[in-house]
Amino acid sequence: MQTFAAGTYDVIVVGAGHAGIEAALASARLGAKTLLLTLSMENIGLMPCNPSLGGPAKGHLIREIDALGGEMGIAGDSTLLQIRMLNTAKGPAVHALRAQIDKAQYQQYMTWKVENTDNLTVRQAAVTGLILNSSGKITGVKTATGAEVKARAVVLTCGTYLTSKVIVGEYSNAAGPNGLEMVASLTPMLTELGLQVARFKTGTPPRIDKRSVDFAKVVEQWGDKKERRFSFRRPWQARPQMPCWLTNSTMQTKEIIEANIARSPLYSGMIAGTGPRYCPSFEDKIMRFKDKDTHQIFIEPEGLKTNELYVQGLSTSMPEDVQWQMVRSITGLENAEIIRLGYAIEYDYFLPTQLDARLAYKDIPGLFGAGQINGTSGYEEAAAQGLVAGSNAALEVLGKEPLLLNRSEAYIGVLIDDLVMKGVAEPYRMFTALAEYRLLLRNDNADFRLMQLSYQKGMLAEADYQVFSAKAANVEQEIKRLTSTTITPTTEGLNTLLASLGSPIVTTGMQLIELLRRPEIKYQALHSCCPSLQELTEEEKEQVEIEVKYAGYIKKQAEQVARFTKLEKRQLARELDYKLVQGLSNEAREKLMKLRPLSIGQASRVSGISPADINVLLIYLEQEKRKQRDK
Amino acid sequence: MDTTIAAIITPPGIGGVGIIRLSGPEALTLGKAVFQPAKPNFFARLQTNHLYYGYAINSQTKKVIDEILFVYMQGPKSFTGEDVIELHAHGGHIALQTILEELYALGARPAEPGEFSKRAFLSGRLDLTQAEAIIDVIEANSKAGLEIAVAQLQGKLKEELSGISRRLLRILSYWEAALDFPEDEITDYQVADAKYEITEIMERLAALLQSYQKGKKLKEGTSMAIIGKPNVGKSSLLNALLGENRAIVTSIPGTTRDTIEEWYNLDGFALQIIDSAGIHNTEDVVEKLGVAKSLELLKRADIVCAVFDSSSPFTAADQEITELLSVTTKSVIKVASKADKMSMWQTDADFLAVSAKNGTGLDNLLAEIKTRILQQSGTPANAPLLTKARHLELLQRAYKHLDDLSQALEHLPLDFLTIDLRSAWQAIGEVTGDALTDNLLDKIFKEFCLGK
Repeated sequence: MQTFAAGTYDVIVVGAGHAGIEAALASARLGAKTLLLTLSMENIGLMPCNPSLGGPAKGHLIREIDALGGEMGIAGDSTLLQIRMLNTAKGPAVHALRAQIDKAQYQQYMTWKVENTDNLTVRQAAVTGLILNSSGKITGVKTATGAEVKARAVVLTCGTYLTSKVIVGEYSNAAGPNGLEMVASLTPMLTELGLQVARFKTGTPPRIDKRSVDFAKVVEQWGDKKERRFSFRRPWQARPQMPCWLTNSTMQTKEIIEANIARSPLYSGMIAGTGPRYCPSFEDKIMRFKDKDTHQIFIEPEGLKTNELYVQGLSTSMPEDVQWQMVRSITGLENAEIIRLGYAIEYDYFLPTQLDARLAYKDIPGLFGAGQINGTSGYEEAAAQGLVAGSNAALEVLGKEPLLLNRSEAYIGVLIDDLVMKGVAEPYRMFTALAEYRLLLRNDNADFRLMQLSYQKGMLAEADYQVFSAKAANVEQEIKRLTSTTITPTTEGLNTLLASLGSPIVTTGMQLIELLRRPEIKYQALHSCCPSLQELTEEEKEQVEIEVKYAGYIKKQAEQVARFTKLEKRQLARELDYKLVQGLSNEAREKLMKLRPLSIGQASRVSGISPADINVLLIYLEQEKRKQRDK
Repeated sequence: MDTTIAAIITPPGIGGVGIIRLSGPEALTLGKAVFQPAKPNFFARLQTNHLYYGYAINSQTKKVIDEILFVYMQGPKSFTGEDVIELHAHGGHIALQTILEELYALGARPAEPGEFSKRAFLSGRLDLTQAEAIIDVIEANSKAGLEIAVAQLQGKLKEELSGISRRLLRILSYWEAALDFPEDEITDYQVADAKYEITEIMERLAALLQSYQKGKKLKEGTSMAIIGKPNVGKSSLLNALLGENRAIVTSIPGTTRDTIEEWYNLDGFALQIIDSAGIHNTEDVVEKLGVAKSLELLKRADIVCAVFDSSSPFTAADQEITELLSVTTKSVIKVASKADKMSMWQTDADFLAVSAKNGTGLDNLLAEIKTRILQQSGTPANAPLLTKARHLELLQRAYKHLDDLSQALEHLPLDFLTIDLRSAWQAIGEVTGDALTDNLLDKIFKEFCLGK
């Protein structure tokens, strides 16, 4: 085919899913001339699986994306059908927002956004190859129709569209999600460049027709009445509300699975890829937890203008006839009509240990990767990586310092560090249990953690930063007031209030802040007798309350972080030749050569690296430092 | 370096003075806590690089441990570049050990091999040529350390700690699952059940922590006399027995000039062996002296290892020794030596047949000695026993976290409870060397049917 030059950009992003959108927007915001290529303009920001965003750790990711100037939070707030705060009784660190999303509106929002962002061009094209210069650096991409577009950095965000295969029972089809077009030519090209590829599988449940559900038999679940939002950067907006419905599978569902298990592609050996343990197919649940006769099923709306409902908990790749039986054995779905079948999908991903903490491929200069091709799962995980990869591609092109987040700053830091240092054995999902400093990485303080940084990097708009600065000042001022205000038994209304709350009355002067540390005293209650100078917003109050009430634990974790940070700051050169470091164990040498950590701290988290190896590295660094100095 | 480390820096063995070095930010605080100066106003007049005379004391009871000299070397002008305290003590190994334990209890961490030098190097105090030597030490010790750690953890201690670790992990997996999967069907782990479980685990940990005290007592007090006629093979038996384990800790002349008393490290247990190796007299005198000497030694030791030569006839002297043994209250091990040769008399089941020459029966004897040492401390032979300071420190930390947890159980939300529970579990994992986060996720996915 005759090729032609189709323009020059700073950064090209390949794929417009959740990773690609954030990558392209971040790159454009930083001022890099950016091109976003998508297989289909109809599928920008597609949610091929669950119609929801957030949840524990995932909600935290959205807040962090928002604090780093990303779009997912605002898009979610603009298209949600209900939103709830989960885990409210389990402590501030695990409070998590989760919203049901109108999928069509979400896509429409994101399409409009990428079409109307400065420095960003969107084009429909299938990328089938990469262009490299003689020194092996990426210089552009080739498309199926012969266009060659030049760029100084390329971000791959191809999701589950690489050599993917959709499977329903005995049927299989070489296609991406929802039977969309897949790309087979990129994987061989990338393996030729030396990347190691592997295969994962995941799945999705059937969608049913709303008109065929017996709502009398299921339990309605609405969102919170409180005005909740993901984004720190946009005010709360009213949205039409829709419920979800809770029901359960029955003994009959179990029997159907057991009778047909031989026809399951998972059990017949047709599917070889590893699936996620946290999101098993329904047939897996039945086979692995034989004692459990019934399972919860959540029915969730896919949008306002559609009758499709998502049957959460019933992910399956059973043959079509079995899926019909399964669905109709569920309480309330006795007469349900399936609109789309559930399916399993197998796809290529590239071992994420080939990436560095910028999400750049260590051995292919100019190439970045984010999202499911890095072996993760979930819209939020993809978006978070997209934002980091897109930012770093732009920062590299612009000759600026990279955006690196560590484990003590953000869930995104945990996510990336896990990916690049440990690799993945199953599609990686973010859990709060993966964060060592969970109490510091709260969803309520993502702005405090990250906005300063993102503003300095040029990722956050001036106006957004001003809003944050005002909030931070208010919180600080209020904590100061609580510390400097002394209350006495004569403070009006105080002891009456304490008595009514079952709290010991005050007999001598004490700091207001001490009173707030009592578990039974809420900030709001104090406000009635010792009001602040100016009325704080709900979010500011929450911040003050958490920082004061849990100061002891927060301080403990902050001390751990201080120790942790010391080792994170000891940088290891990317090109360091570990063969020259005398005294390392062979295992350590091999792993370090392969993973090339950026800091001593990162190296210490690699399995098989002993404290003795770390000592050897510290001594090596000191030796090198002195050699440099003596020169 | 944010921790303060301590160790005895003088070589083990003979020597009038032993030195303990403390290095790190807390060195001065810790050093002062165990030092009682002879002159008043010491703390006000303390100068760097001066020697001060006084006493090492127990920081709680103020009881004197030893008379010492105290030196403060203020960082960065010290060997390690950090604040350094050195305590020069006179009382030999036991006094040094006691002071060191006191410092550990106050928060110092045992120094790893080569760690003072490493710190010195990293703070620019040693020159480049010394870096290699330090790496060699780290390398050698990490290998040896690994072997020792594995050996230490075999058997009961490992079993006990793994059991505790599993129980903590079980509770943790329930709690973490509840936090990460709020809408899945996870059976609550009731606070009352957790409280019961944690209390029980704390009791077990407390018992382990106490076993360290027993181990320490053993180190100070257990002695074994090797008795028997001359030339029955006592010395070769001793050499074979301690062969590669042989590590003389101190060697001081015995109370009579005919005996040698030495400290040995027997698989982590300190054992003082009282030996009549100094006797080199003519045959008939020796026969007499041997018996008299045996009687003398028998009185002074906790354990008696009586050696009889099975390759030569059982003599009247052997008979006399046997009679002595039959009336003693001491813990007796009877050895029929030279088992590689033809036996000249009938040994009964009481005798352990051992050949120093080909190694027959040595393992049995070694095991028997360890059993008797444990019995001496009132510890059943199969009870888990803590012998390493590092393990003690980690388990103390675990205990503290569980204690904090039990305080928090009833009035803090789940999220906070996991902080201390996790820290406790991690501390124990550091002793057993288990991988952590991966285990937790495995446990969660195994235990619960998740996936809303």
